[in-house]
Formats: sequence, C-alpha cells, structure tokens
Amino acid sequence: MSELWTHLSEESFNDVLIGLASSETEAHLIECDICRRRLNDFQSDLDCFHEGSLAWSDSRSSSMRNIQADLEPVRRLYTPKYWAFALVVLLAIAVPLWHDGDRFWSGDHGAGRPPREDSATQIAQDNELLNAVNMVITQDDKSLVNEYQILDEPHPSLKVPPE
Amino acid sequence: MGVYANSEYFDTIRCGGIELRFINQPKAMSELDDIDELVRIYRAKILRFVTFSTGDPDLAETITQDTLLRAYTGRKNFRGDCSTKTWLIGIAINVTRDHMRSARFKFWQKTKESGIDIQEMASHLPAKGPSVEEHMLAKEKAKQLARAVAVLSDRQRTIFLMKFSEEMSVAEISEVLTMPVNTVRTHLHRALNAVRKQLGSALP
Repeated sequence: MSELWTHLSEESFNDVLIGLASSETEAHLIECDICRRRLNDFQSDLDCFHEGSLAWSDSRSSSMRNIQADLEPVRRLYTPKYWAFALVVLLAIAVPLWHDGDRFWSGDHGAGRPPREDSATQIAQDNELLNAVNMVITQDDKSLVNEYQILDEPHPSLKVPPE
Repeated sequence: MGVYANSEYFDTIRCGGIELRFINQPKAMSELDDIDELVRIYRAKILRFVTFSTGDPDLAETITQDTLLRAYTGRKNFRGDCSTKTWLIGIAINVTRDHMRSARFKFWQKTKESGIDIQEMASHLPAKGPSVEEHMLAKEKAKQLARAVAVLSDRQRTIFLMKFSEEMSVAEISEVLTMPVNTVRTHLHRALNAVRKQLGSALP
C-alpha cells in the first residue's frame, strides 16, 4: 500500500528527521496533518534541548579559564630569547666537554693532577716517617721507667726477705 | 548579465554559458589563526557536545580546552575540506576517546551516574512563547530529551548529538567517524527509536 494512504512508518519518520526522506514521504507530509504535527512536536522537543543545552553551555564557557594561559608556555618555547638561552646553556656544557673530552671519558675528574705512582722515593719517605714515630713511642716508654724508678735491683731502703 | 553565487569557499560567477569560480581566502583559516575568535565562536558548542557525550561536565571542560589547544597549535594541518566546526568535533571525539580509554575513567563511569544537572540545564532555556506555562512545558521537554539521550549507548549518543545538536549532515558524520553512511543511518534510526520511545512519542 502506498505511503500516501497510510501514516508514516517509524523508518520513514526517522528518515525525515535525518534528512534522507524519499520524495513520496515528503509528498505525504504535505498532505497529512497528523504526521506533520507529529514531526513538528518531535522537532520542537529537539529545539528545546538544543537551545537549553547551548545556553547552559554558553554560561559555563564564559566562566572557564582563559585558554591564553595554556598557550603561554607553548609560545614561550618559540621566542628568540628562549632559543638564545638554550644555545648558551648547550655551549656551556659542550665546550668544556670537547676541550677536556679525553680526560673526562677516561674517568679523571680532577684539575690536572698527575696520577699517583708508588715510587722508591715515596716508599723511603714513608719508612723514615714510620721510624720517627717508632722512636718517639720508644722514648716515651723509657721515660716512664725513669719516672716511677722501676729498677731490676731492690731499693736500698727495702729489707731483703730471708731466703 | 551574470549570476553571482557565494559560498564559504568559492565565489562563482555565471555569465551565459560560462562559469567562473574563484577560490576565496578561506574564512575557516582566519578563525583558526585567532585563538580568541576560535574560543568565542566554538567553545560553547564543543563543550555542549562533549558534556552530553561523556556525561561528565568537569571532564568536558578539560577535553574542550584540550580540543581548542590542539586545533590552534595544529591549525596548519587543517586542509579546509570540511567546515571548521566539523574539524573541531572530530578532534573533540579523538580527545574524548583518549580520556575514556583510561582505566580511571572507566572505573568512575561504572560507579556514578551522569553528572549533568539536567534541572540546571533546562533552567537556562530562553523564554518560549508568551506564557509561563509554555516556558515550563518547553523546559520539561528539554529535560526529558536530555534524560533520553543519556541512556543511549556511547556510539548512538555521539552520532545523535552530532546530527541533532551540532546539525551535521550524515555525510559529514560518516567522514568524521570514518564510518559508512548506511551505518551512520542505522545508528541514527536506533537512537531516534530509543529517544522517541522514552519521550512516549513512538507509534503504538
């Protein structure tokens, strides 16, 4: 049965709303008050939601953070001053590395000191130092004996016990 | 005599059997070059779309700001083969998808219902008609439709909003979502049937 003699099906009604209505459907809408009223009612519901939600969204948008603030860090990255600063920092790191590169990579982080070597001279010096320390210690021992008069022979004032 | 036709991208002059078409300096490019203009024209629309897509007003604000920033910083990538709004909606969908993939978002989505204050939304509806009753009725309609949209599936809701809130054509929706036109049509049919059933305006 032609659509012209019945009301629109759900599918045809949806096609009208979507904007894919056939010519027959459009012709039916011109003729049928009921279908046209039904379409207008639903369209009115959509319009109410459309306008209310947009007005609500407008009010929320006006109180949102200014998006310029989020752009500033990005913009700063592209200023000549930033690039000049970055170049200076890079040179400050790269030039010393290039100049002292060998020493750096070999693990020597000192200021030009030669590496220590255990030479015979050094060993003799160390031994001399140890002997000096030993003599001082030994002299201290003798002075203690003198201080407290600790002798191998008994003191004259002491009586010798009978054997 | 010539016939002059103007569109967003072309000026067309027809004179007799000859048609001359001049490419405009695209209006879309000037909007994208001015961040303030971009915000002024599109932020509310993007915010509305994302709010009702995600059901989370706070998250929607973050996504909206991200969308506009991405559009502005990536404006050189805009080829001008669609409207600025369509392009922005496409970016918003991608940003939303990135957020929704996060485990944290999935957790909260399970635990809470829609965070949209529908009452507050409806209260912003401009006065309709001369009487208070008509305005009250209009607000009630807006609330009912918002509730009906909220219970759609994610895909149906997104497509429904693209069509009936952002007024995009089926072809534009198909291009943005990289989905066949018939598939878009199917989703729209299902969404409309569900919404009209919720509103009680489906056929008996």
